[in-house]
Amino acid sequence: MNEKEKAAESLEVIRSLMERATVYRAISGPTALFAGVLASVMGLGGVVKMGHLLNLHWHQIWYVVLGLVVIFNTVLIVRKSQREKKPLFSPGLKAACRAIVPPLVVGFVGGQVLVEAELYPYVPAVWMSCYGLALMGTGSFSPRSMWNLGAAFVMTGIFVALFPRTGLSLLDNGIMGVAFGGFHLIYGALIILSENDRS
Amino acid sequence: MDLSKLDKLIHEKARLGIMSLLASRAERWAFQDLKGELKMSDGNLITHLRTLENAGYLQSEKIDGVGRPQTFYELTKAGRKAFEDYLAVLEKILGR
Repeated sequence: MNEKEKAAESLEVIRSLMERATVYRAISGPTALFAGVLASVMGLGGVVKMGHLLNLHWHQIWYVVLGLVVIFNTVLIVRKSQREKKPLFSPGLKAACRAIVPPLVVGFVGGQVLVEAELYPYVPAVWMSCYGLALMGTGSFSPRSMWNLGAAFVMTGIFVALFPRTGLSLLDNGIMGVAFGGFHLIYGALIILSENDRS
Repeated sequence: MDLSKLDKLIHEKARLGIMSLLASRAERWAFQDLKGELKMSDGNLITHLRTLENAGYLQSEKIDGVGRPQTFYELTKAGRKAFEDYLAVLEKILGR
């Protein structure tokens, strides 16, 4: 191995370590696809049917959807840490939690306040904007696609808020399905395709 | 420009890993996190951390709180400068 090759090898070690330490994808491809399929099904009538079945209000059904996605993502993170024999609360996960949790708490509380006030059409706007801000908050250590996904949610949230409607309509579930379903499906498919290309 | 110009303290696989991780972000690194990323034994990691600390390249702080005390590490100004100089030498060797 000549000097140039040794230097290139050292730079490669540095690059991969720094990348591993700083790049963290809070939402994996499989999680995005799972969330996308679930939200699409719920948006296309699933919420109404489940609401009747479980005797829950529409926003509570969306909390159930969120809960299922969080459980799915947690299982994947735990399995990944076990497979790679790394601590569960890696520096990347801690940084992601610091960025994601505050906007999500604000979105939950804000949405709940709007539900109490029966300002239902604004609830999706708040949820989308806060979720988008949470994803954008990971921008300094996430791949660019994560920031783009967050920006898409924020813009959609603002767009929805600018067109006030009265009362709860099927349109609100449809909007949730298009955003949380469609955006995640596109994002998940792009990640999985790009990872397959790389491998 | 050749490899002999490289800082010998940094140009060792384990210490290069430590310096790279500490340089990768502004926040301090906990000992356990460094250990997890570098997959090194406690004794080995402590030895290399001490070597770098004695050279003035990093500083540590032990924090006693709830649970086990934790030691955090971060690069000093001299450490960051030494790492940047090391990278500059590598790039010159590669003709970049």
